[in-house]
Amino acid sequence: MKKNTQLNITFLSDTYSLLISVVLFIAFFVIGNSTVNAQCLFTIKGLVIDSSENTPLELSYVQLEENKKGTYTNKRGEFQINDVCAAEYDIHISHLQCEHLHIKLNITKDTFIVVYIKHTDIELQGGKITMHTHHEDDDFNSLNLTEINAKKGQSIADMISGIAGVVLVKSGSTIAKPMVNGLVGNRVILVNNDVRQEGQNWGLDHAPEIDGNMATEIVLIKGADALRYASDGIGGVVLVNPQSIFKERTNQLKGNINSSVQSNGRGMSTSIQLGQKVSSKFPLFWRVYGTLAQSGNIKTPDYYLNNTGKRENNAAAMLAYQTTKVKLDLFYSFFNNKIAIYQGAHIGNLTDLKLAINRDEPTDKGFFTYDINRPFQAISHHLLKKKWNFLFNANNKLEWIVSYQQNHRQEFDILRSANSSNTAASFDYLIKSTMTDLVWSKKDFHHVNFKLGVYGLHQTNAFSGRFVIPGFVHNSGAAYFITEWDIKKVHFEAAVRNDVKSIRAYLWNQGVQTIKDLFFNGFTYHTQMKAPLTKQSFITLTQASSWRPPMPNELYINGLHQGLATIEVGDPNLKPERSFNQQISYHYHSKKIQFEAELYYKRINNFINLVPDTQAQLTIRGAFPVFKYEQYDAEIYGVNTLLKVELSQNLALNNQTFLLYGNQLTPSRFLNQMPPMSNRFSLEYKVKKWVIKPQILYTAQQKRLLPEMDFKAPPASYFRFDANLEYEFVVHKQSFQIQLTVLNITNTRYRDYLNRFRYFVDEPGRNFIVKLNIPLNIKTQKK
Amino acid sequence: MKLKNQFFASMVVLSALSISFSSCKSDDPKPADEPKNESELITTFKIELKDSLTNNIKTFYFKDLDGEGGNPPTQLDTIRLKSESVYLCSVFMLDESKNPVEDITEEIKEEADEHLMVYKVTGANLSIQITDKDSKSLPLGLLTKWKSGTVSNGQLLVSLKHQPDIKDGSADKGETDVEINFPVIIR
Repeated sequence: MKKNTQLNITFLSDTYSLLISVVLFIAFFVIGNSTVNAQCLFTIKGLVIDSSENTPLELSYVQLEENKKGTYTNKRGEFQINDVCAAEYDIHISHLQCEHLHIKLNITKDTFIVVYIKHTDIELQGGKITMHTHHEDDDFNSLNLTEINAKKGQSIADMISGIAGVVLVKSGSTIAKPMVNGLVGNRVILVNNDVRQEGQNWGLDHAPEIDGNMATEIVLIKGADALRYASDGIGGVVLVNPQSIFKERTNQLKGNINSSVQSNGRGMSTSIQLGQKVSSKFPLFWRVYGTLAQSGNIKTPDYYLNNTGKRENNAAAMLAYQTTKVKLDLFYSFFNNKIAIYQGAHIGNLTDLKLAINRDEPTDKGFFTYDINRPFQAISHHLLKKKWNFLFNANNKLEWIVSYQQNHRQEFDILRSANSSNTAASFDYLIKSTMTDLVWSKKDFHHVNFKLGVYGLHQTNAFSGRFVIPGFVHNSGAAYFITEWDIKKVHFEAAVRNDVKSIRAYLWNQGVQTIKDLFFNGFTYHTQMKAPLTKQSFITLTQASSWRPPMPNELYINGLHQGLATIEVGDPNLKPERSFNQQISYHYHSKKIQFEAELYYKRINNFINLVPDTQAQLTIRGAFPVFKYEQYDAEIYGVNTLLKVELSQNLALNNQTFLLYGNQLTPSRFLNQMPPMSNRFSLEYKVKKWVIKPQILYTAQQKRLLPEMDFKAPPASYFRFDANLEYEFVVHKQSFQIQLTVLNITNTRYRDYLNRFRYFVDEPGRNFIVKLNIPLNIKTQKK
Repeated sequence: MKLKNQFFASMVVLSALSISFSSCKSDDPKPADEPKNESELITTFKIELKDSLTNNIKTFYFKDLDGEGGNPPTQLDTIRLKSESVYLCSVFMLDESKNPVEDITEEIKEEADEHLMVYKVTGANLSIQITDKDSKSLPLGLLTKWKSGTVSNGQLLVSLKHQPDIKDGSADKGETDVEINFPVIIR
């Protein structure tokens, strides 16, 4: 005796959602039972559907406002509320990533409703506020999952170098740092999982302490949102994010194993990820990660590089909980590695350096071993993060992040005596950083989105060993305002930020302590405009200014740098750097062709740079060249382009060009350590489940350098040929991926200008890498 | 709801604890601590010359008490010799930044197979001959015999080469641990 009745139901948004301009499409079907039962025995059943994907929406919370009775939808999107009395109810339907709905419903019988709600992911993906999907075709500044997966097992810097404008500054074959448009070190900010990475970022031989295997998104932020993370990201701000833990909708145990082996260095790496939602009803999520990696001595085409092994073990755990209004996640990660440093680059004095530089090949041809001897580095990095998300409604959110990082870096020089009982590190740095970031995001406030935030940092750096940099206490606070809006089809972004920093440094000289107190205050802004030119193209104009105060290493460093037999001397009178960045970029995207180009001009006043001094310093090991921190005005300008053409259904070509010039302005001369022009060309051929991708990398010789600016002329230009072969297969409904990569196929001898060991040895020779990705989808018993 | 509140409360406590716990380890070094330098330094190089006729002993020093970098060296003596004389020379290397002072010379003697002292004279009329040997009968150079000639001025470059497993008597191998250029005056 059932009959279907269709009801017209008026719905009201809650007060905040009145601002929503997007009209929701809602349909209701009410299936009622015509017989009236006793007063409080009605049942409301229903189905919540994501209108954009037309799929059931799990974890929506359905609540009767009158008596606060509520329940979550199951994974089929169904819900049921029992023992409902006959009355008119205001039913509140909410989902964390959706608009909230209020429905007035008069219950007189058992009722079944179907609710279509619009699932708008208001999770601030990659820290961007996006009203529209601006970044859908932005391959330029980000790496997608496929690109990241192809580089799994490599260092985080290697992964980031896939982004246009990013090259690597290397110290041998095991240590790499990303350089963004000619800037490196303290000027490139890495944000790992919402938290600014704080280690000994200044050293060129200090690689970022992040496990790239966890990343599923890597983005170089060029928009106003960069100011949320830093004022001093003159080079850029790179976000490295793992997959959002809240994505899981079922309680199935999910994960994957990434395993790789490589011929050169006989390296192996295995990384595992596993997680689940505890039960489909209880929104508690967990995930764990682990990585183990090891490699031995690397071989150039002609000889082994003694002592170039590496060991790494990392682990991380996440725990998260969400209700309709609050999300909380806890994250802990541990990064630990031991990196051997090529022995031939450990130089006794200037005479040794000159001898080593003038040799074409090292005297010792080396052999293979996994053993790690002095000199080596041992680094451990802990990150603990707590993040709250308070979701007042779809347009109104408060995010609070508290984090703690502890970075312990030890460097072990060669000992004078092989039998020495001295096991202590030659340098030992311990840097601890506690940070907090509170940001209020408001969307669609008179058609404007904005974020308002405050940031605080307390950092201590303790140092022991041979004096290089002082211990210091660094406190820093900032407030920022970031906004975006659209006028017709033109998108605008703007941000302002003000930072205050105080640094107290403890200098020691033969038992006597001197305390230096410094205070800096700086203002930063970023403006950007994005306008469509045609249906297929748009341009972006950026004008921004950043500010970076000198850090203790630049001010007070005073010591021997064994790796290059140089003495580095800081300048305590350095002033903050101020950069002005102008950029214009053009994007064209048609069905077959994608073209992106960016042209930038950066003027940096008071640019701090390490330059050779005319006077050598006398030591017991002979005279050493001195490099001093100096500052002057500088300019860096260049162009990055990307071209993707689909030649046919199976064949695509891809070309990336990088061109950069750097000049010192007062007095006028070239800037040293600037990357030469390079070009990367690849083809991608797909047949069935196979993808074949050959690639040619060309790097020009850096000619913009005066002979007195370096020990040796920059290396010659080179071509390098690589190839990648990928195959996907399905076993038991699970898709496996296997990849074969060959680097330096022709086993070419070459050296790279940005590798600091270019004076001594060639780059690695041919390398075969085999990678296997095994998905883990473990069925759990229903609870 | 109760469960939820309990869960949140425990999360807050847990995370607060973990943050305060990890930042308050007392045995970690502090920024204001004096850096402990346990690395091996050679701060002092001493040349001791015994006149073979008179048995008079003269000493000459190079001193850089905080090692390479930092403050400049504090002492570099000029070696003054009598003309037409024979001297027996011993050299010593010390780490005077430690208390008590460490004698590095002993360590070099123990590892004689890996070390070589090299003497190079330019300008002055002086010849130097190594008189000690390591266990493989290769020269070591901690003990030498100096013969001065006519009145002249010049330089003496003294270096200590560390040549683990590669020592064969040649001077241009290995890592340089000491390299000092002493002015020499023969009167």
